[in-house]
Amino acid sequence: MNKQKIYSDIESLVFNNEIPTIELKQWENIIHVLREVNLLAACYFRLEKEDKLTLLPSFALKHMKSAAVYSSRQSEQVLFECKLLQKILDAENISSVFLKGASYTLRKSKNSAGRVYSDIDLLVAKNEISKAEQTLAKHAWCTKKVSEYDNKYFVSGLMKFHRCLTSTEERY
Amino acid sequence: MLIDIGEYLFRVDSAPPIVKNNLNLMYGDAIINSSTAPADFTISLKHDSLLRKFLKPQVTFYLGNNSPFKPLPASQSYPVMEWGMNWCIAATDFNRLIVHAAVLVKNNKAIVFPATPGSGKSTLSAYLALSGWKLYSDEMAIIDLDTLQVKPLFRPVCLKNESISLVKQWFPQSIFTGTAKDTQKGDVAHLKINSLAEYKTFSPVEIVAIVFPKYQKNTQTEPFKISKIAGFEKLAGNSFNYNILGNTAFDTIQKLVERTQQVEINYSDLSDVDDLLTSEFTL
Repeated sequence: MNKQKIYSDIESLVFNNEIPTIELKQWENIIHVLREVNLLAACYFRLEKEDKLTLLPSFALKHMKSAAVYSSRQSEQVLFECKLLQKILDAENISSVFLKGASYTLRKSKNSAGRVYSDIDLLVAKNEISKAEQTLAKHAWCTKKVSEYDNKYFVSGLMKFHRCLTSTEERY
Repeated sequence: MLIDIGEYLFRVDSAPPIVKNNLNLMYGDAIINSSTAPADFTISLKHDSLLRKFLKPQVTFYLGNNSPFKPLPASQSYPVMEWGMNWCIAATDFNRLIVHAAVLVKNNKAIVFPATPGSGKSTLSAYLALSGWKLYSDEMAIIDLDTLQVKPLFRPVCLKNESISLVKQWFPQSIFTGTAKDTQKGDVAHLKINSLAEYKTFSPVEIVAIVFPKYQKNTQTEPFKISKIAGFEKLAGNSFNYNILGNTAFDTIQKLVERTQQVEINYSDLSDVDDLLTSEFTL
């Protein structure tokens, strides 16, 4: 199977919800690419909406469904964490705006279905950044480095936060 | 190279020759060159750079282009490959409940041994598996959310430290990889248990008991029942995906503890444990 064909199959799946008519074995490439770009869950929810899940081979369905379970759990968690963040910042009179991923989920916008997150983005007034950082650090939130792109785009009141958790690597 | 471990199909994109040799030793017939089925995971184990290949060599495990672990010394290559395979399953399969546990089966009745610290889980599962029990897994219990049955995986047992020489002493014919020294789990070697032909006769079975073994020197083998709540807590705590499955995991574990017995067993003698488990749960 040539690369061009894989790309065009993925394109029609992702953009038009068209399920490619390919041999079962060729689904390996499609699932592989969708996993790499974190789109397995998004595909699941879009196909579910169009009632097309039953048209998938069970191999593709199980991988998409599994990713959908993970993504649903994450959006539940994002809603919960956003409430907490808001409460913590409100108590210090810091006004903030949720951006990007978390805000899509809060708004339940179309592109939020199946999204996966590594952090929650918050915009605060520039002069309140360090106060916000300190306040959130007390509640076990860590800042992540803001990328050049984000820095430029949001003219830096942007803070990226994720939970400071211990690694679970040693369990495997 | 493709490895068919039953529930999952791995495509090994690249791996150092010593890892491939060990894979051949451990998986044998389950290694195939081509398949009509699509592979679930494309994995590889790579040296980090040409320089690193010679100077304190390290390897990194990849699922696709992503690596879940930091690079580790090349002397640990084979364990890293096995742990990487475990990670692929635990980190991506949310269609069943996956518990960090060994699963042994007799008379189509499964006993799940969650991996509580100090349990001697792998030594016990190696002993039982080489004494007539069927090894469904040394590392993870794959539990169907609807039927609550546990599914078999075709994998070796991972033995650590003193238990490596003990098992070699008890079962001199057993097939081992070399021992990787000083890993994060100490010295580690893998042990082949089933042939593929044996494994193919295994099918999903009911779980009858959740057993928490506790190795204690010079103790009499003694079982005691624990409360359903304690059993629930320990199962949930040892599940890889309890937090992701949420309500579904809660319901599944609740049904499991209601249907099975939960027992702690203090032991020092493995054949006593074998007798006890056989008479208590599998007849």
